Amino acid sequence: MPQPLSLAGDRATRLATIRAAFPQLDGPDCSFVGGRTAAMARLAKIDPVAYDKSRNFLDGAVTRLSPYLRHGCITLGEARMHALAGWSPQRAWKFIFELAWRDFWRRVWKSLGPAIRKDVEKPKVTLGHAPLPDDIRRGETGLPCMDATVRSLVDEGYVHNHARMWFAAYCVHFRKLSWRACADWFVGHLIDGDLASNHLSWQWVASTFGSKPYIFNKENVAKYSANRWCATCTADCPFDASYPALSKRLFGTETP
Amino acid sequence: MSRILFLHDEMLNPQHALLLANPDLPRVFVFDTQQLERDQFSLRRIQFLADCVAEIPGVTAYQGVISEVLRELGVTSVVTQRTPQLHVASALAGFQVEWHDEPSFVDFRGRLKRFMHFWKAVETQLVGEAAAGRDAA
Ligand SMILES: Cc1cc2nc3c(=O)[nH]c(=O)nc-3n(C[C@H](O)[C@H](O)[C@H](O)COP(=O)(O)OP(=O)(O)OC[C@H]3O[C@@H](n4cnc5c(N)ncnc54)[C@H](O)[C@@H]3O)c2cc1C
Repeated sequence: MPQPLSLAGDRATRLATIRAAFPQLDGPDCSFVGGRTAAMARLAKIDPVAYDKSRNFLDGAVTRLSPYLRHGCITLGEARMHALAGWSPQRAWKFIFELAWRDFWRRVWKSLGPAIRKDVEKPKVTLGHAPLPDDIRRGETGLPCMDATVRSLVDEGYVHNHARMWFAAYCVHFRKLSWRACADWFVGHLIDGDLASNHLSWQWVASTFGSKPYIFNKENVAKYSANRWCATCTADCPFDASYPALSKRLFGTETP
Repeated sequence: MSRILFLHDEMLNPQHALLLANPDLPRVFVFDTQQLERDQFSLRRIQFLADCVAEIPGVTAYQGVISEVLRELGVTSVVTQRTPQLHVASALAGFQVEWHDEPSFVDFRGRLKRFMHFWKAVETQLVGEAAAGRDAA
């Protein structure tokens, strides 16, 4: 008979039990407390008005509900109803719009099945196929903005949406890495890791599920990160250019 | 233990409809060693799963390969929630499975193209007439 794994007791004991059961894995303990109670507490704190204004900023009022939605601790419907119970539909609009993205990606996954791991459409630009290099895996690219993203991915298992987009674009377009190799690695670290939202977002950035590739420049990072890296950065910044110039450098044309 | 409620990682809610509807079925969760390794799950992800499972009353958690664990437990039939996660369907292939749909967020039966096309089709359902039509930018 298989032996049950005892998860009872306090959280510290439980985390230690898992650490002992998976001795090949290491790193800090999970900073997100799992479960519905924690999900409901987080839901009670959301502010759809502040969310609407600040969602794209790294220090904006994002909800961090994704790990709980991913594991069904709460449903998208409950999150929507909670917003509509406290705010007018106009004020809750942006939050509900973003919830709908999750539902959309999931529907696409259901219709694609295992093909989600392959290009959904022909890429609109030439993509690279290089495997994931160690400097990315270890967060040692020398670019403070990208290395910080890897650190929060690996240590916390959560990365802000905008930083996920920058990082994916860096890997796929600036480094010409295989989106699939990157996506497979990235998703394993995310507490909200989900084949639909993750792999299809990587494909959206790559342009295999969208009409054009997503890229960003230094101005965009500086603005939405409140200059947290750029102000003191001494790296030779590959993002410091206008969009047409970057596009020409990356894709050979100013408008891909 | 021939019939069980099998909990996979998309239904970790103590108030899940299948738990409420089947209070007497044994509840089983498996930390699937093959899948966790193949999908490169970090320690933190597995700890998060453990928190979620611990909060659900009466669940017995195992570590192993799903199909083997269930077979050793003498399971023949399983109640669970439908999922696009292929490894769940493959693991349960040798059992009699009663699949239940997950809670629906919105009713949409059109062809899936781009997100904005989907959003335009469901917006009124989700935010009502008065709020619909806002520019997404
Ligand atoms: C490269 C890349 C990989 C991603 N991988 C995942 C993933 O594995 N799992 C995942 O849940 N999301 C993923 N996303 C989408 C998005 O980044 C996260 O859902 C969001 O950052 C989660 O943080 P939050 O809960 O604070 O979001 P909030 O902005 O507070 O949004 C509330 C909820 O809406 C949903 N949501 C918001 N934005 C998106 C979006 N763009 N796509 C899908 N759902 C969204 C999420 O469920 C989220 O919890 C990815 C995005 C990118 C660009």
